[in-house]
Amino acid sequence: MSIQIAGLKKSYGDQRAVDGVDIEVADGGMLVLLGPSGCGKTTTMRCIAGLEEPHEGEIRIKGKPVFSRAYNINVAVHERRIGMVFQSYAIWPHMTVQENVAYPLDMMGTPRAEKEQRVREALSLVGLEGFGERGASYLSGGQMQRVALARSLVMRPSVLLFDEPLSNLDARLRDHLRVQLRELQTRFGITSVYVTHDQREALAIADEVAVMQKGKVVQRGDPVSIYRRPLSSSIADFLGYSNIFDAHAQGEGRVALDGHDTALATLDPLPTDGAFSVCVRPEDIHVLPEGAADGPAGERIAGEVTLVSFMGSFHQCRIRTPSGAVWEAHAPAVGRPIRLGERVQLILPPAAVLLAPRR
Amino acid sequence: MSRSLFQTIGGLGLMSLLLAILVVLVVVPFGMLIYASFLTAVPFSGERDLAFTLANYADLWSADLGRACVNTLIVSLGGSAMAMAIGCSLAWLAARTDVPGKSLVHLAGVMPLFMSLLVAAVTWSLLGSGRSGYLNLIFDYIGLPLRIQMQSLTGITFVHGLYYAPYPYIFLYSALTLVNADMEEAAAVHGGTMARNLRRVTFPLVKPALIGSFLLCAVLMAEDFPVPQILGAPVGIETLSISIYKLMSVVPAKPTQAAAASILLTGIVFVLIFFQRLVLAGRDYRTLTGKGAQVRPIRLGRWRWVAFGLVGFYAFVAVGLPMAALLQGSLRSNLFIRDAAALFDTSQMSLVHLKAAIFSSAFHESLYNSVIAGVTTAALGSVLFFTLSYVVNRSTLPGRQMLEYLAMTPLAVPALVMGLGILWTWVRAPLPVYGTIAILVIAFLTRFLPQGYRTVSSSIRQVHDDLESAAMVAGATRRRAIQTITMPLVRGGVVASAFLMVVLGLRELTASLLLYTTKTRVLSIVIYEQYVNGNWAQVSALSLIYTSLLVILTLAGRRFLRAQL
Repeated sequence: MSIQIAGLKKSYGDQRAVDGVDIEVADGGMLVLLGPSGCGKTTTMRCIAGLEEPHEGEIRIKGKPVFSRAYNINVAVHERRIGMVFQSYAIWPHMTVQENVAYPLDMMGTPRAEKEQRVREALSLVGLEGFGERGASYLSGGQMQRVALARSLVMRPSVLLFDEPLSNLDARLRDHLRVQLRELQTRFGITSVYVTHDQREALAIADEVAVMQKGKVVQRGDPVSIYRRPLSSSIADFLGYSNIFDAHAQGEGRVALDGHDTALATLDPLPTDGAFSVCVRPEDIHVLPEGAADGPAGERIAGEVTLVSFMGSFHQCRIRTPSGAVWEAHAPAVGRPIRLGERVQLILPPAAVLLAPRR
Repeated sequence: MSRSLFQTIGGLGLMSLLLAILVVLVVVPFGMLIYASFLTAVPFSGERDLAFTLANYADLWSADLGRACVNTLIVSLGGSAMAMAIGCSLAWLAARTDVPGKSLVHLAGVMPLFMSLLVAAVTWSLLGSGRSGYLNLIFDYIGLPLRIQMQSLTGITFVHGLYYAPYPYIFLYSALTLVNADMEEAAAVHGGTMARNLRRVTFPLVKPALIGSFLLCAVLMAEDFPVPQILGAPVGIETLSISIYKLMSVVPAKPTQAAAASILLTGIVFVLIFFQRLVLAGRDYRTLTGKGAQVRPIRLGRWRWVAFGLVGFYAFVAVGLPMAALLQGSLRSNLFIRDAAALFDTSQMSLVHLKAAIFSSAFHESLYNSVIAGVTTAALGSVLFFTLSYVVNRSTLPGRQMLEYLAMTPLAVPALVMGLGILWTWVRAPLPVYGTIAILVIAFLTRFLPQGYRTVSSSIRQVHDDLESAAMVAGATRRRAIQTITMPLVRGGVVASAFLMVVLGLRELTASLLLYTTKTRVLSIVIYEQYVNGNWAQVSALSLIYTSLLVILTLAGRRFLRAQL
């Protein structure tokens, strides 16, 4: 294990920012801390870097404790040898690209020849050969973030931290840089922690995802299992399950939605205690014209289309049932388009109907 | 292992040092004043029998002081009203209309700031006092039955209004350019008429700037010393500042009563500042710069040139006339002026006074003193302001908010009052400070603490935290990170504040007047002394040199350092 965190706690005044976090990251692995803003993910990361001092707990990097309340250990930020890429890029505007990247080596007292060699290598890794002499403040956002990445790689860090590194970039650049970042990280096998509030980004880049809410890790797992099986309705909501309805068990593999005359079949075992919700991803629902008899097996619900929005690879639709429930579904972009005001039927295959504790 | 303990001790040590400095600079002098106001004699003055008394406050209930209070309010509120009328009209013209020569209008809006109030008051008394005032001579010559008397309450109010107009101008100009054209256009789209839009959208948006700048003017005028001292005191018109100064300079002096009167003046200023804070509530319009452009200018039609003419007239009255008067005063070979024709008689002109002023030892010594005091203040100030701003904005040390409050406190303490407190604090102190330039440096540091701190602080705030964090993550100690990253990035702000110290120090008269000795006269003091001696030629010549120096420094500062002068 490259990073081990146990019982981490940090408060600001009365505010519990991090409330007992336990995390391990395997050698060369990429852990993504995913959660809404204010959930404590950034604070957790800043504690690893040493920029914040936790109130309780222990942090080990490569087996060596860098912070421990019990043993009164707190290794200073600059001695931790950690690379970090900031959301704001944190590129020093009064230096050239080269000076920015060489800074960590200057701090280590690396000999000149080796330094120049390593800076050149780092710049070429991120595709910025020949940019060395440029003033850092003349770069575009994407270029700045590459410089930040080069600056982190050049010191050959034991651990690399990413604090929402892509959220200030435009969508196209974000996808491009995300791929490049993942490529470099796996190539060099650098253990990484990545913080984001974007579930798509998290699932795309992670070896393991830790979902955080209110200062706690509420679910951990590989991206696929996190996506398939959120542990609660609020996690499901955060992961893009846009159809969440309170429900109660009817028996024999069927649940009924509270307040609507709709009952659905599910493959999930019916919970015997506690309130639960039905969670369905919009892309798992089929939209068919009214009266069509084809389509997959599953519960059929009739409704009226109240919103259609073309998203490129699909149509995002909103359908209102006679009982007032509003469903969101993705209809294919090909074939006969769904029209506003049209009466349609939704098909919900039992495998798409997920049950999760309501919290 | 106990690194964090060391850090804590180091941090607390720094915090205590900063607190101690601010307490000595700000709290002790004012505390001394409050203390003295309840005693029969000034503490530590060698007087043996100090006793507690309320007599100093009881004596404030005199007809003279009552009159002074009323006068203070008249010149303060009247002057503010005039400054608002001028400043707001200029701001509206510059920000919203198609008036020709906008950059000239903008210049006219800020230019009067370059003149020190001392020089302004002196020149206006030259222009408009009695029969021999230049303007009165000219009026007489062209047969106008008009005589102006600047040495009057009206005169003081007029000079205040003329030279404080830049404050409302700057406030309102930025507020007006900040009001997005979209907001007004949105109102128009939703069916508002022009007049209704002005009332319902524009006015509420700029209202804080209006009220804020009115109160700021009122504060500055209420505590002002040079103008009423020069235009009022000679004819027996007193404002509170003048009464305080008189209580200090009569024989025998009544210092404890001056202390009580100081508390009263501070009280008035404090109430005004309180209202200003209430209105502005965290909004600092001066730090925001307008986007300009976008706004579609209002067409003035044939009034364009009328407006331009009025702007030109203001610039002429506020700057042109005084400069002409100074030239006239310093070029005249003899004092007596028979009529207006003599004003333009070249045979009566010579460079003898200008030469005498430039080569006088008084000028050299005072210039030297001014420069030394200004540069020392700037050097010490830079270190102090940077450390203060860093600790307040970047540390998590307890008590950092307190530091900021203390640093801003001198804004609410009139210069004369602060000068008095500093005098009593240091005159008997075991350190050899009184009678040296050092006490002027202390006074300047205290007086300009708010401006200096704010300049550096705002430039530190513009440097993202992450920049320093990134350096530390990259292996730099905090000290190294400050040296290599933060300091180079705020250098501009620090240099600007240092420059500000030099210029403000050069302009300062009020506190210096209480603290100077014959060996530590600064430029403003020499001009004031020559004025008191009635040496008009020297007053004019020195003022001319002094004003040129200020204008050059101010323009250079604005141009190269973007200093807020």
